[in-house]
Amino acid sequence: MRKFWSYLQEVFRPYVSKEARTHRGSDFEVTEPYPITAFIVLALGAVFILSIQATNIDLVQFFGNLDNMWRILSRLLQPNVSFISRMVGPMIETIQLSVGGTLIGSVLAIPVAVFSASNIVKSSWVYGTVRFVMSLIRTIPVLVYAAMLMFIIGMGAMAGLVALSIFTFTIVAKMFYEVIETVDMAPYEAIESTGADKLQAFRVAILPQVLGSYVSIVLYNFEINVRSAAIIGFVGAGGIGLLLNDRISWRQYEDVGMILLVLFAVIVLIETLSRYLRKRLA
Amino acid sequence: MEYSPEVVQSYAKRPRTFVLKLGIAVGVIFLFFWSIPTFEGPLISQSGVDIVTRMFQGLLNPSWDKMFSLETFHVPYLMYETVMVAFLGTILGTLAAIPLSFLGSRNITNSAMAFFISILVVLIRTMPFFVIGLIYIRVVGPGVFAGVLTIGFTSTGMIAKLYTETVEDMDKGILEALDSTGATAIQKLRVGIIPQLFANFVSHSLYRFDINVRNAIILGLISAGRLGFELQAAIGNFRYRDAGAYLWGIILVVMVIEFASANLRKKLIYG
Repeated sequence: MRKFWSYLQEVFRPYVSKEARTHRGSDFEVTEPYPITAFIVLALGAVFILSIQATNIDLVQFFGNLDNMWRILSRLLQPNVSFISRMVGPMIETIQLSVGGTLIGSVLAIPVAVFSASNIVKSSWVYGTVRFVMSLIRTIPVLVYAAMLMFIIGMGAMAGLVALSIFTFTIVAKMFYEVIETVDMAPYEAIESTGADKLQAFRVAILPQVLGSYVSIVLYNFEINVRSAAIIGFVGAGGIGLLLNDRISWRQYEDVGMILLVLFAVIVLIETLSRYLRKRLA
Repeated sequence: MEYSPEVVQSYAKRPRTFVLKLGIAVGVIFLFFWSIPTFEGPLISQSGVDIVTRMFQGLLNPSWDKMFSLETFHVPYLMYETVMVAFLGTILGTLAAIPLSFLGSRNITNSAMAFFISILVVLIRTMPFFVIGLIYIRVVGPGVFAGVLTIGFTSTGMIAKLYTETVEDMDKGILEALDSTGATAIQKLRVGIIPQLFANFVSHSLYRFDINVRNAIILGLISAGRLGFELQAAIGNFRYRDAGAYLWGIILVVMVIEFASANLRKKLIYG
């Protein structure tokens, strides 16, 4: 018992006394930082327990129905090849949606990005407000936009296009203004000193510096948008997701497997292409 | 105004990219028109405008009762639940990603194994998470538990990819140095591997946690979560003031977690 007590004292000493953490050398002394690891572990443990409580984890049900899951997975792994003829149309629509959303969103983002760059717009009021509003719009996930637009525009690809455009708009605006803020301002000032107005100076001095990054940002967003466009149909907004949802609700997992396979190929192809182009740009 | 001959000369030799520019412009315009879906009826209809105005009114004057009461299924509780789902999902994803990332690192296993694991990781990453969500709903029924499992599964892909990159960047010289001192495997893990990887691992998981909070909201749209579900139901039932409250909840929870995650990551990596 006594041994245990002294052990406890030894363990907790660094928490109570600074002396225990101080190492004295011949010429200098170092004090270790306060040991917070234990508190972090405790806090994480507490959150873990709370999260299990909040999410009604039911492991019995999970393991009881696990064979159900294996059945679904094994059917997914036997894709129905003949289904491919029915998915060409929705697949093209998915790509159309992501191309259109990317184009519209990233063109609209240019002026907003300029107005949120602190080196172009000098008034902190203007760029602060623009950035704040944009960050509010950016918090809402693209699928929530799509779900809301269902009620506003109605079912179909148009709602998906608008949702993807809004989302791309916010992301490109943020990434682009961050690029604009890193440019070399000397040419801009030089052009301005010749009597050019701000727009002319921007076109000649800033645009060539940021154009490559802009195209790279747009391509990156295109990659994201292909993934979003693939699932945007689950809320009714067009694309392959509509078909996926339909096949899943009819429990046609062989068809689902085929769609996933083609989707995988398309996504990998587009990502490879986009990454190649971005590398060339950089 | 006279220009010096050098200026005139170099101006005459400027790159002529007019054809290229025209080609790109035509290409982009073509892509634009190709991508616009056909749409019957007016894009901006009276009822659409009505709903948008009501939604904005709802945002400006949300139902304060829903917004601040601590009762179950009101906004603060839903925000808390969303974060908890994302947290548990991230933990699951991290736990699954650790073995995958070590097995998939070319500097640890042989290249055949690494290749196999990387294919597996790409497969997991490209699986649309609504598909996983609906499969888990078939297994455990609708509710946040299905959401946790979905987020755990879908996080695994990205976390494993980021972890693999970290492990492949690891300095193995330290392990050789420890070998020469006669350290055991556990000791090598404790002082040679964990300190190198820990900060980056935690940083990647925090990054994914940020994404997972959004995904936990979205999963509500297929009834594997609650915040998204309640928002959709509120708009569908014309309860725009409730919808406003849920939207503020989404904005708040995403912003707070994004801010916290970004700052913690900055602190972890740059000290």
